[in-house]
Amino acid sequence: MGRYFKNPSFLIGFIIVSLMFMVLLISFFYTPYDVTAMDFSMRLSPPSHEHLLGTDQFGRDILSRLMKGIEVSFLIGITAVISGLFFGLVIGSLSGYFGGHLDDAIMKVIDTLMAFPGVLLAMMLIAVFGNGLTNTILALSIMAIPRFARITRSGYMEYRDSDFVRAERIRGAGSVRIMYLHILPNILSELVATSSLSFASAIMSEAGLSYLGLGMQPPAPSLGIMLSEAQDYMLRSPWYVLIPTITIALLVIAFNLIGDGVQEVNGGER
Amino acid sequence: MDSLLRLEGIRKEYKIGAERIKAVWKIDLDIKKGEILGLVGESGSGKSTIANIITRLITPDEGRIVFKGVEISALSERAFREYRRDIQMVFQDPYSSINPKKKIGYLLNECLLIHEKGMSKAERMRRVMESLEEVGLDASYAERYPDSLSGGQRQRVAIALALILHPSLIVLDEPVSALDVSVEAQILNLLMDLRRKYGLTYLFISHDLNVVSYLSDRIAVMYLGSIVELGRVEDIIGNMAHPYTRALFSASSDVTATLSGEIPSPLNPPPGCPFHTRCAFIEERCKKEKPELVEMEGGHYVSCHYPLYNKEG
Amino acid sequence: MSLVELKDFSLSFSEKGRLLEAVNSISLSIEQSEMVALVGESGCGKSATALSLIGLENESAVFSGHVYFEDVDLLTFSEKEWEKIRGNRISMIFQEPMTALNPLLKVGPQIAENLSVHHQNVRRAVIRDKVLEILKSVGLSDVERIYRSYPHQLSGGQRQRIMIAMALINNPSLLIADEPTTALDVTIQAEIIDLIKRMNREKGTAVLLISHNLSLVKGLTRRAYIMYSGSIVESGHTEEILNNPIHPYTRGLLASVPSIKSRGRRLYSIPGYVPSLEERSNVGCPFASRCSIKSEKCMKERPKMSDLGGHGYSCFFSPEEIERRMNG
Repeated sequence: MGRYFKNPSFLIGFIIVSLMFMVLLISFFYTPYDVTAMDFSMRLSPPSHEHLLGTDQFGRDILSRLMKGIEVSFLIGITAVISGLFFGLVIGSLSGYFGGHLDDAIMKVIDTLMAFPGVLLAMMLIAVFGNGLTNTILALSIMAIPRFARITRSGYMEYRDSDFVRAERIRGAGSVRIMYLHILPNILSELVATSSLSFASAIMSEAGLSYLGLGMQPPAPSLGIMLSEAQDYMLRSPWYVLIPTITIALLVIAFNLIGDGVQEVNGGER
Repeated sequence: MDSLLRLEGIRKEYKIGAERIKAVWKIDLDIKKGEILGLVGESGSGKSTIANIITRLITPDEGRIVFKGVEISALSERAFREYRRDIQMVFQDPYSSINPKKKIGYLLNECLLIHEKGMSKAERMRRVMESLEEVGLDASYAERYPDSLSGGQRQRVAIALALILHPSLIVLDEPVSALDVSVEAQILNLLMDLRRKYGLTYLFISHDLNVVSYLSDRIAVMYLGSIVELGRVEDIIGNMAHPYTRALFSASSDVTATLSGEIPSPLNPPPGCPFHTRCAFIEERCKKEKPELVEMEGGHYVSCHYPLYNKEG
Repeated sequence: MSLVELKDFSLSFSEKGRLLEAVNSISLSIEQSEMVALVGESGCGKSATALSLIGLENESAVFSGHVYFEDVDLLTFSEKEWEKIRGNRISMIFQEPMTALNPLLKVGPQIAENLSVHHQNVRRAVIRDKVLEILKSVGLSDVERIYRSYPHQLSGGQRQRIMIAMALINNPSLLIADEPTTALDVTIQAEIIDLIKRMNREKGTAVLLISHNLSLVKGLTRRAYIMYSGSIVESGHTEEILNNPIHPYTRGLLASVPSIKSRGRRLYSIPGYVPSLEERSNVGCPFASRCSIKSEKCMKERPKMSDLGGHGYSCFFSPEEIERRMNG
């Protein structure tokens, strides 16, 4: 683990993510104001002692909404990664390890899914399931699967005929043991890197969908919704649009840095 | 001596795209209990295919494998399980044949977990330590990862992994060719000690004739998927009957070329005797008719229409 | 004048602020059209030495001493000067010819390129004829087809012949052959060895053979240097070294080679293993940690080369003393 922290990309990404995560933890117990409490006397006021990041067009506290928005981003990122990792691993490992017709069939589906731009795919899913938090999570979770499946598959294809796997077979190890106790540890670092990159793209996609009005719905706090609402007041209250923009950028950059860092550290040894 | 493992009429082809590689033609081979059978051949000879067939990594297209009197080639994967532990293998490259992400102790313990279902944890620990000691490594190696080990140490681990289940047959696929000369002798001595101690049977696959003639009881020489000569080491060395065997041995002892031309591709093997394209003693018949492996005398077999043995009387 | 002369040549790599010594003050020489072997196990420094002779050593390498080639010190060379003699006066062939050939270029033009780099004013047709001729001279048949083939369409033996053709096309004075037959089949090995011998005889190219294979060295070279852990421990006529080895390492190495003659006996084996660069100590004899006859002095002081009528060895003990101690 220590060698990861010696990598500048990983370290910077990790610090930013940790700070964001602390904000998220605090938001569980405390936000300065209620995220939906409107106060029309305080519309679009600039940052002040009362409202550290100012207020929006309904007089809601931007800091409070930002804190909850980060929470939503993390929730979506984590679910997308977990589901992508789980289903991608199962699909990719079966496909890569056993090959043959199963692999052909699975890969056709995965390739079809990957041929669509991510957001377009999510829009189609939302069109089918309807919008809202749960369906956004569902759509983004499905979207995350192909990438993991591909990475896992190529890892399993690389190792399935390797000497140590053949040796395991001769020693009597079954397929499940070989797949998950022997090959998996060898591709784990690649999966960690992919997880981080997928986390970043899930956050981006959520913001994009909500911005288009397809993801989360107002008045729910989400970075995408904040961005879409703020753009009407861009000239009058530039801080309002800058705050969600910078937050999204920081989160995406941080997770990408972590992913790059993990790849850099492991790339050196392979 | 009793037969431990017998290959009968084994044939294996690989398909690569539209082309077919004849890896093994139709081989009969008997490995006797307690012997070291050296299997010699150059690239494309099919010796690795034989190793893979015996260890059941691949199934032959045709033929039977009889192990301890049982036709194991007819068994299902499940029924084969009880024989699995009895046939083990050591690979050429100790860097690729051990999972880099697992501790040595984990790998050894795993063998017992798979095959000795009722064994207590303490007993397994004891067996792991014992097997490390057996190959000349101390107990601390159980806690180490492969990447902290040298090539020789890794090959010792690979041998311990093959040995911990107390098999009767170990296929050694070029076990010393990746090692330095000074380490090679250590590993060969270890293999000889272990065989004496446990009465093991080895199929020793190698391209190095010095090593093979040092330790084998019998030698089988393969060329392009066929066995061309088979016999006790003394008979073969003293009386090489096949022109290929002679070329192979003279090439390794004083490095002067006695053969010309390349090894034909197994994709497109020559008709007749597979060796006729490089043979110095070629006759018309060799181009048309593939010779059978026939016994010349007391267990010395050769597949040649005009064996050198006969010529010299 | 020797063709090549290494004098107190040392080579270190700096890694994580530490200087790791790969070659420790070795001296060796190669005469015009002589065949010399540099023998040792992996990590002994033989390949590092060879790469320095052709200016291809790693950038982090730190040199000291002298490497004279026709009385010019190669260690002072700039990359520009190297380009003039590399492939022209000094050539090299490698263990795995596939890695040294460009997989995307046909063989013929690839060889032709080597020729034209150094002779820029020659006409294309002339170059082509010259390439075909040299392909024939290295024992290839059907050279027109081979000229148009990609490397992967050829066998290992054919590729190694092509490497040799490429290395010799500019008539270099020195050919460095780094384990040229290790990746090849036994019967093909013999042909390549014959070819190198013939090229040496016909063109007078001096050959430095880098190998761990003692029987190969015996069949090919006149003189040999035995390296262990960055130092030369024994040198002299190949026959003499192989028949009457002096240094405990050389003796151990020869005794540990299995053969039909040692059937039924335990092989002699040198205990322990070759220390890695990091594990090496700079004090004492490099072989001391594995030597069966070492004394106090061996752990503290590095022995110098002693000469016994052209047969050099670096050990504190006399040959008789070594013989007595090892057998006693």
